[in-house]
Amino acid sequence: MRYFIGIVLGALWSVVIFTGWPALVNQYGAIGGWLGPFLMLPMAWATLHYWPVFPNHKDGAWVDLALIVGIAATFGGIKGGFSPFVGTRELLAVGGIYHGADVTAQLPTLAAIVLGAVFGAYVGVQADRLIAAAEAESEEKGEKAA
Amino acid sequence: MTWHHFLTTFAGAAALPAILVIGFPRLVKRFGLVAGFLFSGFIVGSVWLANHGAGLFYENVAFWPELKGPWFDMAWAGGIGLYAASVFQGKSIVKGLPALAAGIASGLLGGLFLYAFIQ
Repeated sequence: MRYFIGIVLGALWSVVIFTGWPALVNQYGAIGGWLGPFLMLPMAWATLHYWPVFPNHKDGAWVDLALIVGIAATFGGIKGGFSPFVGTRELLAVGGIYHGADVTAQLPTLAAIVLGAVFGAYVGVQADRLIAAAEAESEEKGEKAA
Repeated sequence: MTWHHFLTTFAGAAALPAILVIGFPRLVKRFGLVAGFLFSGFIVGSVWLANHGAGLFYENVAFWPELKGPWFDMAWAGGIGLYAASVFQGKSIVKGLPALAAGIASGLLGGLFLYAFIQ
């Protein structure tokens, strides 16, 4: 049951994120894109991860909301269109693999993303260790001073 | 795609998980839900500005109704990066497999909804 709820909630959030965010980009450009995550991601993160609805094992490798929405955008496409009630801006949309988009055209980008992400994760983890060590050291000193 | 594009995509993809891994858990541990609300916006929004707003990510796509490649969002970098970071920190890949399967299923299902919306 937890898996079912996690899967459905992740799917719903990926729809909200990749329709609402592009709509903001379409309407307001860069500032809309910057504002997008403030409106979309906090509740998505809270409902999936802060309150642990998504079934991550506590000792298992972390599957993040970002992976879910990334897969959803690649397979289903993104659309920043508007309903007739809001306005008649030009449609901003990109088709996905389900529409028949050619993955091979984007394989170099995928390779760069994977390599970059792993490299960035390594840098982040090492920096995290440095900070943790520095914090432990300053705590020791604080205890001695007290 | 030239090597310039590869390099910019690489740099943009590296920035997101690096900043998230350093900052996010630390801030949430100290300030709780409020930090999560604020910094999911600040970190992802600001990196978005570089990656998709300015266009560090090279996307070989065509706008609908034309079709070329699918859209690879910087969410891929975040998802893969956080997965890799947890592995670097000693989390088990095997124990995480059910969650990984659920995540992929969730993405495929969400993609189906998006597919239905883009016609």
